[in-house]
Amino acid sequence: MDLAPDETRPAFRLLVALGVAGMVILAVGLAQFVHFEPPGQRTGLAARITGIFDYDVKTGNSFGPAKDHFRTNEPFAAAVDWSSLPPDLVVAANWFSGGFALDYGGVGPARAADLTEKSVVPVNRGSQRFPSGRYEFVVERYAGGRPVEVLGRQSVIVVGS
Amino acid sequence: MAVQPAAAYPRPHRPPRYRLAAALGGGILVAILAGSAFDLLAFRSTIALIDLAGLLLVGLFAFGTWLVIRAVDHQPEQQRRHLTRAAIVIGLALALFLFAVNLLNAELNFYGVLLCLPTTGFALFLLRRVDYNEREPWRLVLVAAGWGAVVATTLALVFESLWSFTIDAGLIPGPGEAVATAFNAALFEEVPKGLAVLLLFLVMRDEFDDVVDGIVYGAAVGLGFNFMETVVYMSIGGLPQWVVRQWLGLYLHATYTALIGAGIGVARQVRSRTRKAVAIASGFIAAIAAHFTWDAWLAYFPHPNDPALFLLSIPLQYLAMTGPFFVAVLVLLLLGLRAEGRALAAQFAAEAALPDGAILPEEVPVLSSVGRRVEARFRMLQLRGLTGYFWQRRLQRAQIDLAMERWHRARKEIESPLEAELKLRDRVLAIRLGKKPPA
Repeated sequence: MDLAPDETRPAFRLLVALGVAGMVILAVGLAQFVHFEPPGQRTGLAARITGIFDYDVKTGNSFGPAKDHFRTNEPFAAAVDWSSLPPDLVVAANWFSGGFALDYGGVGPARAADLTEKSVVPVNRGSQRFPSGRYEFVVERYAGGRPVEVLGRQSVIVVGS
Repeated sequence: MAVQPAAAYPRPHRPPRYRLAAALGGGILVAILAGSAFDLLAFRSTIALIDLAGLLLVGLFAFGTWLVIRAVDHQPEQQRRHLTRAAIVIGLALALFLFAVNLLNAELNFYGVLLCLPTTGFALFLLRRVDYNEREPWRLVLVAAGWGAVVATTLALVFESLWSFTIDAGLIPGPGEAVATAFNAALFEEVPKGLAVLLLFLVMRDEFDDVVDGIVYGAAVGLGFNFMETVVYMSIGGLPQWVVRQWLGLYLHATYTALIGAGIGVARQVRSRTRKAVAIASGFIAAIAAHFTWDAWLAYFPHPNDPALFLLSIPLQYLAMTGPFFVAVLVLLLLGLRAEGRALAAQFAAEAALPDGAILPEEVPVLSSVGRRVEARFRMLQLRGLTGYFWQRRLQRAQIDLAMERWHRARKEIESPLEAELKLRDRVLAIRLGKKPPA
């Protein structure tokens, strides 16, 4: 029986082409990752986040014990000890939610020494209720006008009231 | 001949008190069973459910252990049979355990399980019919889907969590973190799913013929994975998740793992080791990249807040991100079916040319066309009723099995001895003569 030995060749070729396309896609992804997470930026510094507390919108102060769960009608804020960082370090602190970094308010970027008056960082939702989900508070070091290193991170869960 | 004096205890290792202890143990077991069943029915108690599931698992493990003891100690002459059964029972126990773990992770969302079973089941039914020349056995298709639902999801959960606690914790929120999350999902979901297809390829070579079979098994694993993922997401997002994942997105995971299956299926038939490795690697890379593009889309195009735009963005995402890969799988499938069809037609003709062949020359055009095969069965249905229909189907399947064996032998990609082909030929002849076919 004389059968063509290459009857699987079209499928093999298409598969290799898909593999090459896949490698290009993954390489682009990796390049994006390296661009936004530049290597060699670790300083070993850590910002001290005191905790996440209930927040009084009228007085602008936090109160009560640190919590990791809030209800959708309870404003909350993170407290940062900026003196835990070198005074000239350019930093920012921001709230994120929704899984893909939607900005929910914050302070900075500025020198750590200039932020001592802003140790309480509330979530900026105006008068709206907070959508339930996970909220993340992140302190970042800036260089060249963009964040390059995470110095502290804490998260809370907001549940339906 | 010396007479042995009667022993004080005829069974010295089993004193009578053991019987009492066994009775007490059995009583406790029955009490737990009855109490848990009552609590489950009366109060819908989760603890009772876990108790019952635990007892079932212990029972299965005990049964499996007993089978192993029979294999090695009591009936070593039937060792292979007992060990196979023990492996199935213990495998079933492990699968049930992992299913229970996944279900706990889904907050015991039985409602979700019941809703997803018909959609996933129907998809598996259709998928199996795609391979119209030689359908894969249900037991293997279900094993593949089961692996996707319980083993792959468990492995993915473990490694994705590990990644989140180590890598993600140090990443800057924004595109970099989003890309890392997409890598995480793509890598730790596709590799565990692909392992199932690779294991089937290594263990069940006889049922893994070519790229078509690879696509069927791969897609079955993906459907199983999608089933459990939907159940978990429904425990958080409710019915909309069912619509999105069991209707719009039912083919997502199936497409990704079908790419891996296609790679392994092509590797089954290429000669050199390098080409085999390239085919398998290409399948894995394509699947990981396809999955990556899906998750990365959200980083660059987050779902809009406007409800109308949100509804529009979802089908657009499916079309743009997974559509091209789905089309690629379809093309691979068509190429595989075409190659398989041509090869089988050549083998039918070659078998018919043999003086003692199991295929008659007039059967060749019928066997070579799926439409004419079905037509022949229905003709037999009219002539001899259901018995005739099933006889014709059995005969055609045995003839296709024989042609498939001949095809693999002609391509020098077979390990089984020539007797296997002779047995298949005997099987066809036995069916034709209306005798019981040899096993």
